[in-house]
Order: sequence, then C-alpha cells, then structure tokens
Amino acid sequence: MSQKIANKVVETDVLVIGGGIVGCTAAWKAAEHGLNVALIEKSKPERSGKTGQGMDEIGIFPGRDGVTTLDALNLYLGGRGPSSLRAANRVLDPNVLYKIFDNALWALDEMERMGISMRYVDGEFGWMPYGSYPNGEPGPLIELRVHWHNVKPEMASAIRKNGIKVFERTMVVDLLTNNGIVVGATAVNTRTAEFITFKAKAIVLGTGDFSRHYNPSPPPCWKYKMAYNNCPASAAGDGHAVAFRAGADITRTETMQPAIVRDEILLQPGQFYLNDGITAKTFNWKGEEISRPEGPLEYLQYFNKGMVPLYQTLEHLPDDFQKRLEIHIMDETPLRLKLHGDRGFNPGKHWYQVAGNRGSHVLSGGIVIDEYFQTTLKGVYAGGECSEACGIGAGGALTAGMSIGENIHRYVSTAPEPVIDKAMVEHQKRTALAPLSVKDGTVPMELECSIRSICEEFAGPIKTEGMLREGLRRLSSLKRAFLPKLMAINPHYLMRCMEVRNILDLAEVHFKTALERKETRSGSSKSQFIRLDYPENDPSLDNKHFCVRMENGKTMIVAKEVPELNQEYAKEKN
Amino acid sequence: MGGNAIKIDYDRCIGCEKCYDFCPMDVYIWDNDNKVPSVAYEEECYFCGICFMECPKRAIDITFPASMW
Amino acid sequence: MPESELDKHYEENYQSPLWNLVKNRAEQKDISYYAAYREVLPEYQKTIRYKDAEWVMEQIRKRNMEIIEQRKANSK
Repeated sequence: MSQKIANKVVETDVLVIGGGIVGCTAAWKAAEHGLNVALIEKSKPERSGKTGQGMDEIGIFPGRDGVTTLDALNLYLGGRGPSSLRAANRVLDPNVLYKIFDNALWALDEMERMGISMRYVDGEFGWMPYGSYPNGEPGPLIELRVHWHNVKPEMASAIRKNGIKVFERTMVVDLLTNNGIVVGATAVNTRTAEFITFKAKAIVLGTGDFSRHYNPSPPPCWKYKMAYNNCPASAAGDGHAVAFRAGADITRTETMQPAIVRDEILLQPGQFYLNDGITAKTFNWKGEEISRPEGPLEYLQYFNKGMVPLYQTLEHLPDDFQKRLEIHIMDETPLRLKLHGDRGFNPGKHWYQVAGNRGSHVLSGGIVIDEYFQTTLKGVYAGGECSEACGIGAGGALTAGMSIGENIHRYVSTAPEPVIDKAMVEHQKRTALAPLSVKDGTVPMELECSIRSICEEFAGPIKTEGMLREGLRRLSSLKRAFLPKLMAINPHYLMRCMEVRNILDLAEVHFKTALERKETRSGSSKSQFIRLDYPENDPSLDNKHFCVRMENGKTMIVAKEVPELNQEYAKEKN
Repeated sequence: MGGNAIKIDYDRCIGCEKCYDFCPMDVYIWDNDNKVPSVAYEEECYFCGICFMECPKRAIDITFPASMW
Repeated sequence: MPESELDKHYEENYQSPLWNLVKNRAEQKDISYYAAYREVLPEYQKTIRYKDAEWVMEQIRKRNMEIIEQRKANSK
C-alpha cells in the first residue's frame, strides 16, 4: 500500500509541530515577522491540545504585586511552584525559567493583540493569589484567572488570519537532519495516510507531555477504556520521541509527578486543589482529618496503617467558593459537571477519594532547551509541556511560544538552504507506513496496554534495581516481538501505531535513566524520584541532570552539569 | 464498536460535522451517504466533552461506562 | 465521621446549579452548551463576590490558619 501513496513535499521557513498554545503562539508571532510558516496538528487547532476543551487559570506573571522575576524564580525553585518543578530543584536550567518569567507580562500583552479573551466582563484582569506563605498569608496576586473555554477557537482563528498553512490531522513521523542540523520533518495524514515531507529551515516542537506509558486506572483490558489525565492525543510524547531519535537531548526522563489522583469521576488533576487558593480538607476512611499526603511515600505510610482510602471534601467552603469551583470546572473540563449530575456526585457536599500511589505518573522531563528555547539540535526549538520547562502550564507555554516566534527569524535568516537526504525520507516513510501492510498482526492499543502494565508493575512511583532490570528486559523483548507486527487496518490506526512506537521508545528511556539515578531525590519536601534500594540523596548528583539522546541507533545517557543562573540575571534584585 | 458511552440522536443531528471536525481523538467517522457522524473508535474517547459542548443541536450525550467506575 | 455516613456518597437527582442554568439556556435558545455557557457565565459571576478581594483573602487566611493549627496538633 505504501507504494501507492505519492510523496508530497511542502517547503517552508518554519515548521511548527503541534497546534496547542506553544504551536499557535509561535506560528502567529513568527508569521508577524514575515516568515513563511506551516503548522501540523494531529487533530484540529480549533479544539486540540491540553486546553482544547478549556482552561481555568494561567500563570505566573511576575512584574506585578511587588514580585520581581528573581522573586518568582525563588518561589518556584524554593518549593511553592508546581510539584514537577519543585522536584526539578537543581536539575532545571534556572536561566530558562528566568526568561519565561521575565517575558510573561509581555507575552500576555501579545496574547491580547492576538485576540485572545483574557479579561472579565468588567474589562479587568482576574488576578488571584499564587499559593500561600508559610505564615498563612495568601500569596501574591500573580496568577491569572481566565475563562478560556474558547481559547483554542480564538487562537486558531488568529493563525488562520495570519496566513499560516495549517495541516490538520497530520502527525509527525520523524525529523529530517543533514550534517547535524535540522532540514525538515516527515508526517502522515491520519485520515488519508498521505505521506508529507516538509522542507524547513527551522522547527518548533510544541507537542504535549508524555504520560501514556503508565497503566490506566481501570483494569488494563485493552478492549475497554483507559483513563487519562490529559488529552491522550497530546500525551503520547511525539515531540520528545522525534527529538530524541534525531539526536537532541531530553532530560529528567526518570522523574515523575507525584501520583495523587482522585476519584475517576473527576479524572483530571489540578481542579480541586486550588479552589481559588483554599486547600481542601483531607480525611482517612474513618473520617479523621489528616494532612494531605504529598507523595507516594507519605501515602504508603497511611496505606501501611490501614488508613486508606483517603478522601477530600469541599463541604467546608463558603457557598461563594462552591460557585467559583463550578465555574472553574466549566472553564477547564466542561463535561465534568454533567457527569457529576449523572452519578449524583455533589462536589460541594460529598467526599471524593484521592488515590495515592498510582494512576498519574506524568513524566516530568522534556527536551533540553537553553534560554532561547533552542534544543541541542541546531534549528529545533521547543517550548511548553514537551520541553524541560514543562509543568508551568499554559502560562509557561504561551510565553515560550511567543518568545520563540519573536526570535526565530534571526536563526532562519542565517540558516543554510535545507538539503533533504532522500534515503532518510524513504526510510522514515517505510517505517511509518509499514503497519498498513501487516496482516493478522497486533493492534496498537493492545501493545500500549502491555507497555503501561510493564511500566506500572516494574517501575511505578517507587523503584528498585531488580524490578527496573526485569521491566526493561520485558519492554525490549516486547519491542522486538511486536513492533514489527503492529497492524493498522486504516489511517486512524496508523496514527495509533506511530504513537505506540513513540511511547515504547520513551518508556525504555524512562527505565534506562531510572537505573542510572542511584539515589532518592526530593525537591523541597516532595519525593519525586524514589529508589527503595538507594533511599538517600547522592550529593554527587546535585546540580546534575541526565541527558539522553540517540546516537547511531544507541541510547546515550550523559550526566551533565545544570548551568548556574546567569550573573546578570542574579543581580537584578539590587 | 458496540459501546454506549457516546450516543448520537440522529433525529436532532443536522450534519454540521463539528463533532467529526473537532474530536481530538478522532473518535468519529463521517457517513457520507447519510451525511451524519458515526462513532467508530469509542474506546479512545477520553471524555473531554468537546463534541458534547460544541454540538449546535445538543444531539450528543456522553455518559460514563461501567469500565470507568 | 461515622462509617455509616460514608455511604451517603452520592445522591439521586443532583444537578450542579451552574450546569442547570447552562442546560436550560441551551434548550431555550436552541444553541450549543458552549454558546449557552458564554451567556450564562457573566450572569452567574454577578451572584458571586468575585471582585471582593478582601473577603476572598480572609477566607483563604482563615483556612490556612486552620491547617497550621492542625499541623501543630499532629506534631504533638
């Protein structure tokens, strides 16, 4: 079948991969600088990505309420930021964070120019406190409450108006390189199986996080449903995988976000903890109030005492906050209120279970970038969830995207004319389209279920050497036995096959780097990387991160020093 | 695919293609003969609710199946 | 809370008040739920002390103090 499909070649200055917040903002801004921009999106930018159905808050935005960029940096790395970055304490380039925070308010202005609704009906911004201080005082007003149930249609309209060539239902296969610099990428249309070669001077990766390597919460019966925390289309690690295979560094692939999820009825994390700044009450099953466990180890303590399940409730919140919460849910996960009604679950009154040690293991690493969002592969830029600065959420994504779009013309103007290696294109085409010719093979979802089960059983939030080795052995043999047998009866399943190939590559990387980190590492009080056989922190790994890339088909892991904060930035405060 | 998490009321459907167009998981296929959507890959639905919310005639209902309990 | 009360986890016929408004508006005007929510949202906001920052901060402060007290009690 692959022979029947003709090659289509598209030439462009910039190819943006992923039509979420990063992709749309980068494309829009790059086009403003007169560049020719093409954007590929696995679904349709109007409703794709993590904010496809909506978003309730973004942040953070230093430069207001007395908070400087440096303050914000300290707030994050000092323990008040999202947990994935707290863990990243000492393993994330502080200059990247600095640049994101420093440009946040500028990016916000640009968003308004782009035509994105940011304000309340009264025309004002809805600033809300960012966390709380240890003495109980609410934090500074640098988090922005938004009603972004319509953000993606607005963004898509902006990029279409700006003349960006949008390729819908198009999934990246791999990047094309020549002599160590990027010259384009190949992609497949997920409804027609049309194979497209993009010739580009620069590439922006704006794909999502990687969380499809762990077990679904319900039993792993592949014929049934899997539970996801975010949009699974954007959580397959496509960007991570293509960057890795093309020779770019990815990092923190061994770490994960703490696995505290709640009742399946709520599905998505992030909703009930913030509550406009109010912390929910947590109870053990007997109804005794406890402190919320902050990680898998703390949860395990309750488990061992027979105190689980644990529950949370919002019944103590004033009525006003109950209403605010409803709006939060409508803004970010609008189907949820209706589902609550179906089950008779009243979030303002009923307890909901918080599960402790499974279900939400999101890889908290990503593609290594410098403060200009350049990856280690020349000509490739990355931002948002697929980059190492993941975990800041939509606020970090929009700043990254706008910044990339603002600066990429400098690289494009000096980049050499891309020369495509035809053999490389042919190889990628054969690999991508192979499942279309397989008969009586394995369907992608079955393979994905096996990968997830292996990850859950042999890696999980609490790891040991023996289990990691056995898990890696299983993954490798699974890959050898079933990757060539992957079968796609149509282009839709071909997309799932390509995703599974990415998931499998990254799952292996997860095990390999977890074996390398022979220590337990916590950011502030939160345990993020737990090795039962190495329960202590290894000081020789302070300020080191493991960078992984593929070289001649082999996985290379190198421990690299994390840069210090640039002297110029550090001086800012005085 | 024999599921019952996504139900389309074909009496209400006006064939606008929004569900088919927007679904991030590509769960729907388009039935060109009858100019209506059809649920082809229901097991991949992750309950984002985009089709449910976008449908101008509210012809789609989504409920949790037993496997999600 | 005694165990028996945990059974009261769900109730029949619960509907979120906001969802009810959205649903009714959508049906009334024969529009999508997203379109209905866009109409209902500003109206619903008016029933909330949305812009009363002082009051909001006070609620957060109150709950934070409870947590601090609870931690103290736990560590004893």
